[in-house]
Amino acid sequence: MHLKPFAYHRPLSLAGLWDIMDKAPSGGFILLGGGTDVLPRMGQRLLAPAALIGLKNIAELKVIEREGDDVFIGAASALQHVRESELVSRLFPALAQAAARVGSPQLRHMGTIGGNLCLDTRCLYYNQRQGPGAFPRCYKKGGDRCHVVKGGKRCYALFSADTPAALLALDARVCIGGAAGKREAPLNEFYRDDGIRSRDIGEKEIVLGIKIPGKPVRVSAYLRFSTRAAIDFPLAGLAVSVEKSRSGAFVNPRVAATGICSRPLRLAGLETLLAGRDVRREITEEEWGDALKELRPVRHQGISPAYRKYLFGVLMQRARARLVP
Amino acid sequence: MEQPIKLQINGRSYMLNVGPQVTLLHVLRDYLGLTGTKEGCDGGECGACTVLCDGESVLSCLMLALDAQGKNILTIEGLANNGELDRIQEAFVEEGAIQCGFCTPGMVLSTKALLDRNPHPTFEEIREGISGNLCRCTGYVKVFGAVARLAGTGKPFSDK
Repeated sequence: MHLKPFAYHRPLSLAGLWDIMDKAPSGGFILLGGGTDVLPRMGQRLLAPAALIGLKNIAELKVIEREGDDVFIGAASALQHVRESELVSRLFPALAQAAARVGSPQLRHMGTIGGNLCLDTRCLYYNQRQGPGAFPRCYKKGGDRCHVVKGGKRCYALFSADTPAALLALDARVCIGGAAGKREAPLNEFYRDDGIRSRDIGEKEIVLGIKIPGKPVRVSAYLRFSTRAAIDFPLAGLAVSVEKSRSGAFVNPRVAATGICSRPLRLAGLETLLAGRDVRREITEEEWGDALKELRPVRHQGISPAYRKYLFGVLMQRARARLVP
Repeated sequence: MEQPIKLQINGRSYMLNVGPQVTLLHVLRDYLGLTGTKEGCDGGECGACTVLCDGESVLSCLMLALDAQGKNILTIEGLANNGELDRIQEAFVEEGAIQCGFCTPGMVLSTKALLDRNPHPTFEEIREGISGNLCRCTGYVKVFGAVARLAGTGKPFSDK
């Protein structure tokens, strides 16, 4: 890939990172985890940062460890390591399954969980090289229109990372840090339905990692549908988690989806449908059809919104089967 | 701005000057003449540029050369020993798992990464292990055959 020149900083500690970020001009740098999302965009000339700050050499960001009942996963942990972590696969199967579904083995060795959380939104009209005769600039390219939603007042680019859906269903909290200190927020409040700024994070802040509660114990699963497994983003991804109960009922169910709008989304309709219901009872097409009535996917990909909605229903049916003890 | 870096590739040390924007793939092919590593899509999708970095398969088109410092990089050139093919390469030849050969270096290295960690993978694990390498000729059947032969799993698809 022939990239335009940039300065490259590779701090060895968080203290070093804050120092570099503090001196960098606002908007002048991009954080680099595994590089698997940022570098292709730079190759397409969609991004041209003056500087990149690599996070791979910061040991504090690579831990996967217990913190009391919770488990903390550092943002620079490779997706393959998250997937292979004994702790993660035992306590949070949905996360291990989601990490296993990201891209190819090569991309999982390089890509990080922090990078997956902060994966930029995608769009047919955005993720391609700009050339003569291209479409007029859309919002995401600094223009004044959206090609996906005609007359749309904002960018509708699609959020399509796998692990955030699993993490939403597991009630995870995101740990954010900067020179001024650290803060924590529920992951659900971290995302916004906006294709340009889909994450609520300051310019000089970074995602330090993710904290997942180990109690109450949850059974979980993540399923997705994509055209080709290894090189495509999900057309639909669905994570379900439910508190373990003796009665075999869905207790406090969480259902979260990716590939649906500009953020990973909790599907309240499906959660209501599941609550209190016996896990062994199958979900009919009529039932999920009703539960997804409010859902309005827009035409991002080559398939129709109605079919995508259908996919989420089917994934829900299959995910239920996976939760049966 | 160019800076001096030291890379460890196929057991040899190389000193060179590169700018931060230079990828490992670019260094391998254009600076060092190690053209066994192929440039396919150059965007992280096809796997033709796969190399091993400390034993893990990575895409050299998405790795900055500066980040390869301090790592043991293995390319396809590092596999054969004194003109004698590695057993993975042998198996690919014997099973006819090669047509045009463009994807082969990446396929072989992905296979190595898989078998070094898991010498007897199941068919599913083999499928996953080479899922990041696209081939436009073979349809993958013979590639599976070569890997399955090495894994001792027998032929994945019957001949009947």
